[in-house]
Amino acid sequence: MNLFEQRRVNENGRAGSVAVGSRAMTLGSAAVAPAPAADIAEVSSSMRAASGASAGAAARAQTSTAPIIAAENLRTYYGHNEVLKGVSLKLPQRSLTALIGPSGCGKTTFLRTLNRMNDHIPGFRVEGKVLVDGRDIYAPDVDPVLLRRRVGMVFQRPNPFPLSILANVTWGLRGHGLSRKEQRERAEESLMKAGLWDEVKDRLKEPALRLSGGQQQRLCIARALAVRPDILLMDEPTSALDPRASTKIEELMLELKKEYTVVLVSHNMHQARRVSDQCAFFLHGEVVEYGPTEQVFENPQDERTSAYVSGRLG
Amino acid sequence: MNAATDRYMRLYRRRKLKDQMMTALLRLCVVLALIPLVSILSYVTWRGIGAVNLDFLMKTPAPVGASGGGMANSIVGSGIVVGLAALMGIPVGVLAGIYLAEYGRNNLFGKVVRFLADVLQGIPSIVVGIVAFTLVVLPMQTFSAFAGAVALSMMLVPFVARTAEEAILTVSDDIREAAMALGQPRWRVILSVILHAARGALVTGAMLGIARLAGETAPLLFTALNNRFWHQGLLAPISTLTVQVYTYAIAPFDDWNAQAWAGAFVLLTLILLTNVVARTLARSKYGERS
Ligand SMILES: Nc1ncnc2c1ncn2[C@@H]1O[C@H](COP(=O)(O)OP(=O)(O)OP(=O)(O)O)[C@@H](O)[C@H]1O
Ligand SMILES: [Mg+2]
Repeated sequence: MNLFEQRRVNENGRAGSVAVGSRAMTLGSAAVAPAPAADIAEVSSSMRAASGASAGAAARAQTSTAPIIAAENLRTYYGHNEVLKGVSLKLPQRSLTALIGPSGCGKTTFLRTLNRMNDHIPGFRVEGKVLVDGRDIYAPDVDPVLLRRRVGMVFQRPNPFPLSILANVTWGLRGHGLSRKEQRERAEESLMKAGLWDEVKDRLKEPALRLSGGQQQRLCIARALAVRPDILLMDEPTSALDPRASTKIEELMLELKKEYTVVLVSHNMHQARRVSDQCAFFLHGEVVEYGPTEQVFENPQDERTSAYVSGRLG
Repeated sequence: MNAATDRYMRLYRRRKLKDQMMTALLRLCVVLALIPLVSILSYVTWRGIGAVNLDFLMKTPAPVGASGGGMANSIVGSGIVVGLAALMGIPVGVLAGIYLAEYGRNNLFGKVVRFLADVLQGIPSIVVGIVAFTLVVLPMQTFSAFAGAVALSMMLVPFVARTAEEAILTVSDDIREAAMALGQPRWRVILSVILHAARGALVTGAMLGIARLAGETAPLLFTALNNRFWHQGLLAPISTLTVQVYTYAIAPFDDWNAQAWAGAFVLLTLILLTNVVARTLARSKYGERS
């Protein structure tokens, strides 16, 4: 089963597409298997051991299913500069994982290895494995173009195309086998999911660059959702926005994580805490601590984590 | 006011005076640079505009010895030769520019091509004419509109390649990455997002290139040659404004000299118009922020 095959068949209904079929399988196996998948056991047991944390959080971790993303001893290099120094992380699906850590510790680099956006950077190299649904995305037979249809990305600065609002959302749908009408419907659906529909429904033909910064960022989210990814990578999506626009996007993230696996890089501790289920603390290219958000913030295992989340470490 | 502030004020006044003197000097240089341009424009207009009439714009040259006639065939001929050159040169140039900007930023081949393009732009146009003469006219055993267009396109390709490269490089990497992240192949990202975002600058570059070609004489002298009649197909000699102006300007007849001025005036007007259109087109609809 090739997860990165083009999902031309039955693109319209999520059910029936290859990727979702596999998800149903993992869901099924998680339900039948006596113990939840190992990684979640790790996270939840470490949490229990640490703090006797709330049963609610433990239950949340239990009900999450097998990891959709797993990095195994991941090392990345820009030329001779080793940026990630053996990162192992398993991210459960349909939840939001926040990556926090000081500037330059490799959060963006990690995020961009998940959809192979660093492939084009001269001198960039990956060692170790990144598995999405159990498949190594750096295997030679994986097409990064098709991978990116499953793993969408939202960037730090809003970056709409210099096209109309509508054309921005439908741009990524070429090659998905959709008619014009279907593309239009998809655009509407995505704009609604991104909470932008009401603001733009009467001006779909206007240049996207006339929107405000916050609207542009939600347009970028809609554009990413339009290709129906399973995973959404968000690299400090609110850092270029004012507080009100940020709040809107935070609310959106809470909605999105019900349906998508969201990985969020954030410098804003409050934001990370409010929206994430798991939290990974990066430092100098290593993951110092990873666990349920409550634990990482309330009862960190590592001295460096507690220094960072309390603001004592830059 | 104490001594320190006093000294400071003196320094400040001196700096301001120097600043004003430099600004005045720079203004003077701009005026000096403009003098030749303005005098050419006004002199050509003064000499040329009188001989421009309906006959000049509608008729072919009168038989030698007879008076009257016009340069209509040369105006059309220039359009044909330059148009054909653009048709051949612009696609090649734009593709080369895409290569340089998207794939050849750092590799050796990109560097070599970029260097050659710059050298090619500096080659005297008469040399380009000789090359086209050797490569096209001699094998085909005829002067032709096609040979002229080949010569001109050889000059156009490096210019368009470099301007296209610059235009594409001004498109921010943000947009490039956003497009890649949506799971579309690179060629489509380039063709539909990058070229679209750069289209204003691309069109401007191409039109400026065309405007430059329209004024070339040397590469046409022994490729397109000249013709006293309406064009007779792409494989026959053809008249162009520049060569016709050259021919008439050095002829010992007063009315031919007058027509040469008129031709020069028409040529200048066309080139100016092309420039104005190019710069107007440079504004793109979706690129603007309100
Ligand atoms: N394109 C690149 N080429 C070379 N080195 C890079 C590149 N991108 C990042 N790096 C290096 O990798 C290291 C990690 O950068 P990265 O952008 O992943 O950090 P980050 O955790 O996202 O930081 P921030 O919080 O400031 O965004 C830095 O030392 C940086 O200099
Ligand atoms: Mg970053």
